[in-house]
Amino acid sequence: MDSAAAAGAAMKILRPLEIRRATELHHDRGGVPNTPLHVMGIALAFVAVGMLLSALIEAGSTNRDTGPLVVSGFLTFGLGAFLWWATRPGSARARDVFAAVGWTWIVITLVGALPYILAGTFDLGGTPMTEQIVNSIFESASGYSCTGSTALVDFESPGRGLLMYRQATQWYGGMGIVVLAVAVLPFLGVGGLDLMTAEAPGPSSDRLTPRIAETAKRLWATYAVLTVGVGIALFAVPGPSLYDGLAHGLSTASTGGFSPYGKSIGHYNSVLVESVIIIGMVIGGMNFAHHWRALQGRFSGYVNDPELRTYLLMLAVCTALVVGLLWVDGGLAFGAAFRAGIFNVVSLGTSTGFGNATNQASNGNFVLWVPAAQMVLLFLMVVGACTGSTSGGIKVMRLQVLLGHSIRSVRRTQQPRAVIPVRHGSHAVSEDIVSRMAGFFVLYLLLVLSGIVILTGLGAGLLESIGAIVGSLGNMGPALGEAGPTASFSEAFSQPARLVLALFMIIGRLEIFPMMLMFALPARALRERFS
Amino acid sequence: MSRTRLADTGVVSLGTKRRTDSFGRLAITDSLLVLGVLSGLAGLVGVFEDLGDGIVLLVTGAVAVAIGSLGRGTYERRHRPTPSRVVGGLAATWAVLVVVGTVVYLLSSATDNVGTALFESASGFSTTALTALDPTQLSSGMQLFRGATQWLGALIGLLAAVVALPGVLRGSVHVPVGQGRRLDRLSPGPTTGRRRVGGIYLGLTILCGLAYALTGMGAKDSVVHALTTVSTGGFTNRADSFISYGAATQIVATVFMTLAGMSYFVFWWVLRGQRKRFLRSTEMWLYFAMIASTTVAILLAVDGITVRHAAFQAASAASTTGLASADWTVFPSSALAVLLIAVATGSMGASAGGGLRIARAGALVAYAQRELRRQLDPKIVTVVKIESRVVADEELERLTGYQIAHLGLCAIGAFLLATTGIDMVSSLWTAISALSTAGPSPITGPSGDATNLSSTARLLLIPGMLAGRLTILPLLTAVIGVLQAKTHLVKWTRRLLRVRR
Repeated sequence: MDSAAAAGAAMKILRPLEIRRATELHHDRGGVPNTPLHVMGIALAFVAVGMLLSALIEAGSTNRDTGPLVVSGFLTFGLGAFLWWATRPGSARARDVFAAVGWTWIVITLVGALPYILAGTFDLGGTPMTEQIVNSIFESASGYSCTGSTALVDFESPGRGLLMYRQATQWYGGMGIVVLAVAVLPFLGVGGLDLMTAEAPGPSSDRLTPRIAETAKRLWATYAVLTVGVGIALFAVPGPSLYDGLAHGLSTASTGGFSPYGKSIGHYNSVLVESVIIIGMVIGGMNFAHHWRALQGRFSGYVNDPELRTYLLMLAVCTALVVGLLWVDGGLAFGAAFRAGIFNVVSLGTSTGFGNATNQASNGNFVLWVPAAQMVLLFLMVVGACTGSTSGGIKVMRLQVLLGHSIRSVRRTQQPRAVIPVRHGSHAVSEDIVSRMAGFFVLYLLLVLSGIVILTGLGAGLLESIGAIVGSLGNMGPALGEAGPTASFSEAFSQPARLVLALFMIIGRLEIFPMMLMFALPARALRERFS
Repeated sequence: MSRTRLADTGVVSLGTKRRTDSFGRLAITDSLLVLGVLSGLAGLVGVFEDLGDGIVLLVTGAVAVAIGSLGRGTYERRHRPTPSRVVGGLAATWAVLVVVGTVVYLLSSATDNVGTALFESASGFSTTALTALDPTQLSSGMQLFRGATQWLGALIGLLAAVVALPGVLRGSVHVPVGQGRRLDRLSPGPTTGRRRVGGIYLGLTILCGLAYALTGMGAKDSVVHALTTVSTGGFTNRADSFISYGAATQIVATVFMTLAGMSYFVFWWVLRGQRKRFLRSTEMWLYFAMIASTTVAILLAVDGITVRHAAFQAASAASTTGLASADWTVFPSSALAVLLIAVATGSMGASAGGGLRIARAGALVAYAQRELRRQLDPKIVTVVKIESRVVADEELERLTGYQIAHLGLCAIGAFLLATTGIDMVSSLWTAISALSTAGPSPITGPSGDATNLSSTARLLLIPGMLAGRLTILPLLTAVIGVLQAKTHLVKWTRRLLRVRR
């Protein structure tokens, strides 16, 4: 299979709606009908391209990890091509789509750990192999899920190509989730698109075109423009090199939060760099459909979107709160409080996870902040940014609808027979969508509670567990307590705890339902078989 | 004026005597009557030890009984009140009781600080085990009064949950599960319901007091601890809660805390000999399972802890009593996490305990399962059942809305507490614990010593504690009222601006 065919095939992972059409096209091609394996093969080929491109950068720079990247790239491509060749799309039932999405992300996470394992990235001299493998899987999961938590301690030993691969994993994850949000989730019935449609002016929905594949391409193009834009802006300001610009562009547009430097953005200690990153993160947290329309010269999407207004208002209010608390209670000068406050609020409010701490005692290390300011950050970690963006969390729109739902419940107690619709902007949200969002939130809560019990059972502190579980499910990055922005998760959590966190990152990235169903389906099948 | 016309204006003619139809005022006067009796009894005991405190309690008792008696002759409940009136009436009752309690604390030798008196009173009537006083320094009369505030607070909460609210909030999440066929109902009417619930409550209190006395506890302590155990209040006469008591006393406390967290419907079924209904109560078995699993989790997490201590902390957390037989704040984080979840989930519905309630938590889990199923088959029709009763979709929607509001209040409370300088875990824990009417948190220690909190933090906790006892509805209604006022203000301003243009 040539690379063009692989690239074309890879796009199919982004079009689950077209699986049925693909089934018809490939029906005479042979192979075992198996949708999950077929989708997985395409995705693996796609990932392999990233590994090989990173190998090129490595070969042209430090040339320390070229071999591991090339070997990983070819192995991954080979496996992907084999799966693609040996299978063909089967049924497009909901359960197959869930399985395809869930298993693809798990396998990509595992295969994505190969470069780290082969390069010995986590070998600090005598580090046991199991520790290295766990850290590699953790780093891979954190990358593909755009979380930004890291198990890396030594940022000097990995080559520049390997670090670029680490950045690219987040870019893949971000792109996947944007397309997933508008292409996969509506098919699965989670309701994000229905709601976006309801708020969009006119009959055209957030499917920017009638064809979902065309929509995916346009969103992908927007994503690329944002990545390049942030990269160029960073290169234009004093400090970052072209490499740095590209690396941070990849993880800013994807709201991932990885950086090739241990101190993250604090490495530059530059207000200009931080300003560019803040703008990039805010844009990354917005609905990408609005960006596409803006590129066409139509800015009405920004103006008419109640979710966007709330998102920006939330960031502004939280920044004011945090800055005020750091200034009044925290004893920082106003300028220092503002710089530390706005960067970290935007970083966590968009689920990016960059840090601007220059050292453990610096103002940017938010675990040293007054408790109320940290509480604001915890709230942002739960909420995240807008639907249709690359960010994680429960999303601003869900928060708005759930708040409306909650207020309605109280009002109904006073007026039991009143018909009170839940509104989002000027549109009434259907009861079905309210119900699904409430179900999502209840599941989210149950997962958070289970995760906290598991992590504390594995020896983590209560504060660290709360921060890490909320952060992982929301794809934030840094947690609280000993797992703050300047800490490595390999030091803060035990091996099993890191694996649990890796799983939670993927669950959070896929917005809970696909992974939960993926685990539930085998049990259901067994029950059906025995009954 | 005809009888109909009088009824329309809220005044009903009954022969020569006119009594006003008011649920709220009747609730206040009835509560004052009971408080007066309890206060008088405490005064009678305490007058021999501390004359000043005794007189304060006796005078309070006399005045409260007088007002209560006068009120019973003036007000009555004839018409079914609206939900707003019931919730408002209950909130007003609590407010009046808290004010009376504050005055008693201020007039007695307990404290001369208004904030401390207000906090102690609110903590008492809300059955929260947070105290700003040193119980060992209080006179016997005041110790009894303090216990009586918790006993009365829980009784009002019970009557609200079993008698008042189900009458007006049919099908709502505030109605406890267990209102089965009409003949089996614990509360077929307000008067019968009050009598039955009060009888069971009093019976449990007497049994608990006798059991404490049999373990060698003194008479006064037995009475006070019976009042605070059966009410899931958690006030004690010792500075270290139940840590320094013997094994037998701790076992008795564990049993009665567990019973206090159980639904009064369960007691009613037992008393009526309805063994099948009792054994089929899913909520009850879930409640027992939660206590058992919390006990096991503590045993696994804490080295060298005995089953007695583990079960004590588990029962205390699940029933939201707040007593402690060991310093659980030094437990490993896994045990703390399990305890916090037990406190947040709380006891059974229609019990003296607080928290989200087991039935609601169970319904939420079932709701999540249903939504998962609907992801696969969007057209599938599934029902959620609690206690063999199908829960209507509308009720489930309200439940989720209520739960979100509950969480929102916890988050706001935690943030406000954090602004007073309390660390994050303690802020979260204290807010959850106060809203569940449990009380103690890592910062207050196992005995719920609120002197570790600033006066601002204590004031912030008062609405949370009261909301936790009554249901969060009044607090939410107030918040929504403020939000709506803001919306109206914006609308009026816009209109005004348009007119000027």
